[in-house]
Amino acid sequence: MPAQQKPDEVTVQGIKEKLDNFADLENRELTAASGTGRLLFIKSITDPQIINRSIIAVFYEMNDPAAFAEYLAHYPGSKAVEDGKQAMDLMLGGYACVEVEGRLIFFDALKAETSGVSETVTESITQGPSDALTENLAVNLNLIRRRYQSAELKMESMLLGNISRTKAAILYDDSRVNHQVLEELRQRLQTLRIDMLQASGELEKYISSDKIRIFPKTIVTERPDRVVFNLAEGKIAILLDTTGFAMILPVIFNDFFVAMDDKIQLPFVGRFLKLLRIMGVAMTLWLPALYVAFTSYNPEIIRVQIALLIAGSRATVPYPSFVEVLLMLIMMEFLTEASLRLPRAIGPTATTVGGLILGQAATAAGLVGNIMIILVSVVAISNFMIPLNMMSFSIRVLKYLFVMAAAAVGLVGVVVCLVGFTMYLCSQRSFGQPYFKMFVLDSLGASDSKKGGGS
Amino acid sequence: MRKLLLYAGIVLLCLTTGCEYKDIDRRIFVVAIGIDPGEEKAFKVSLKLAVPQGEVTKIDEKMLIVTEESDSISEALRLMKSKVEKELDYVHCKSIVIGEELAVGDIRHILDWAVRRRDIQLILNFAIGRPAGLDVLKVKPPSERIPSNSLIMAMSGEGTESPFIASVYSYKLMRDMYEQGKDPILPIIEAEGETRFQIDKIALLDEHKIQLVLNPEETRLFNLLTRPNLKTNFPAKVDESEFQYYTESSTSNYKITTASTGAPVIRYKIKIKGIVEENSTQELITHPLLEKISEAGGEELKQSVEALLEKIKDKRLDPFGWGLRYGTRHWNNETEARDWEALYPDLKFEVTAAVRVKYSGLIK
Repeated sequence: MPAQQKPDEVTVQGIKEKLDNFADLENRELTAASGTGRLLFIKSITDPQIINRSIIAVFYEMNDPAAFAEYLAHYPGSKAVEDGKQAMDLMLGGYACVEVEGRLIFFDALKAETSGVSETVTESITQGPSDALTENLAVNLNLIRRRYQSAELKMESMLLGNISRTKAAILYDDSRVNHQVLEELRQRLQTLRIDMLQASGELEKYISSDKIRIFPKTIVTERPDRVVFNLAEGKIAILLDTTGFAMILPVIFNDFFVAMDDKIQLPFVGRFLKLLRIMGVAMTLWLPALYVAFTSYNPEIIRVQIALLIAGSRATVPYPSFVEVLLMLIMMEFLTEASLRLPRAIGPTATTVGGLILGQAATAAGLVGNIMIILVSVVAISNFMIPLNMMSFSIRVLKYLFVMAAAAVGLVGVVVCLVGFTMYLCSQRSFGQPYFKMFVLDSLGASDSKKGGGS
Repeated sequence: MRKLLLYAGIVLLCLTTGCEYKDIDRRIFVVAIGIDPGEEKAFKVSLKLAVPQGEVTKIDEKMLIVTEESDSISEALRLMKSKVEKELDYVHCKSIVIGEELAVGDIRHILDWAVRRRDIQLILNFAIGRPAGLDVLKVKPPSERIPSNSLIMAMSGEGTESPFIASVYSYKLMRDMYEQGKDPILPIIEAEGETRFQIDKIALLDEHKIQLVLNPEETRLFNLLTRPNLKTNFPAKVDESEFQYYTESSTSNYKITTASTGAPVIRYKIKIKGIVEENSTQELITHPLLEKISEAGGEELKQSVEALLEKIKDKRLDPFGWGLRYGTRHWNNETEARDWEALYPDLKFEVTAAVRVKYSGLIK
């Protein structure tokens, strides 16, 4: 192997400048009696053991910079570089940069954090990566940096919470991010006066300017690939230590209906899935309300056959239709909540007892109509078609508003409610960005559709 | 404390309902209305009510017919409200059957009521009931699972695609009745006992009452002239064999030609693509024979259509809207209606029937 000469254009200083604003960049001076060296590495993706054992310890044991340089250069995994771009790639790929005797040697010290990274639980997909963010900030940074190897990915870190002192990291792609939004976020975080901060969702509450928040204005996700995907779209991610969820902002309404496997599927399949999701939202939001409206105010809209069917199934039901709907919906919520808390082994039992037996018995006893059971099941299932939990929960609560409107004035109420929500959504802003920018073909929408996920 | 009361108030408010609120099981749906002349009063109104069943799997249709006599239809309906325990709901009323006795008099009163009333839809089917509207309502075919469903299916064409049925919606009847240059028609439903009805005749009305009743054969030709792709069969006689061909597709259109001299002529062009369906002598069907069938069928069709048109003309009726067509093609708005009146008695008909029987069916 020929002796490695330091290329003219690559210097420690140059690398340091490029990695400006990298809070996890470590810059150490190695000083021994016989000479000095400089060690530069990104902490979050390098293994401290390798650095300690193979670089620092050896440097002091040898006590001879020239021999040390020779040792490093012949070590398997070490590399010399030709230009600044390659140097940057190596740095971001988990290499440590050692400057000794005027030579610049890159030493492989990648930390592959595999243990401790568990599978996704709340956002499962059929194909694609299944690793989830963990409670460890360093591991999370590793997961993200490994997927986003660009010098433009900047990280700022700060401590939030007077007592909890939670480590937070703000990640963004410097070339793509909207700096206005970034500035606003920095400002809001700096003025934050709280004691405890434990979850990403909690942080949203504190940095949001609105008093009444009906729809989530930030994405809370446990998928590193979603974080990376959104970073590439110019969004900002906030990672918190001690929580396995990242927060992404600013978002638009449409982002909540993008699943990560939309891009893996063929474009037309992805679009179909997206359509299914939107239909699911419509179903879960409107079906109970429409049932109330149709059975109690406007039976002329449905066909006479269905009208008679519903009338027949309701013949034994002693209370008005909206009480029937509310009762069954709340029963369903009990079931959903309970199966969430139940130990995994008992879960199926609860669903069987609750879903099948209860539903069957309720209709047999004549307390609720047959149609009602079908409706409640559809509502329950379609609610979980939304890939992101925050939105799914919002929609889950909102459907009661529609039911109330339908109980008060029938179909007119449902329509007025819908118009009202559309207007509300249009008036919303997520960190100064329009929230309901759904069908506008601007640069964001175009870049989204190019990736094949459906815009 | 105040806050608590406020919350309690909101919760209680949520449990109240609006003023039009009435649950579906507290309504009873009227599916058909029959109107006959009363014995003492002007009208005898009958309502066919659908009684919903709890068990969907049990095939046991229940229906209820209530009848009331009064001088006005609205009054009769109000009186009937106290005959049932639930609120009468007319939103699913799909047919009004007028007794023949009433239809030879004047149906404008009934039509006006049906169109004016806010909760009766404009897409309900009008028909004439024979011998009376009530008899038609009483018909309950064994194949029926929802009350009056068979009547709805047959009259609207959702179910059977019989070439003998013409469906007439109330908005259309209203339009035809008050439109200058077009006369309304109504299908006739004949009740045959308690379990069967037959709809294969059309009554042609002038302004307000029956003038002419077409027999089934004429009804089919009438439907052929008024709607495209009528699914039916027509005869064709070649030498000694009697053929029937199925109309795979059919179109018909007409042109009114009024030359300055000579009688005005209405030229009908009928185009039919057919398939041989029946062959009385089991003769081998060859291509030349197919052509002969086409020719014979066309000739036969032409003659029967001409006969029908002459018959309608003799009664001075205009169910096809010739007068309307004449009006739309002429600019003299003031005089065109009178012109048409003057032209009408001299009308001549020229029918060309282009029948093309293409296939011999499946047997070669």
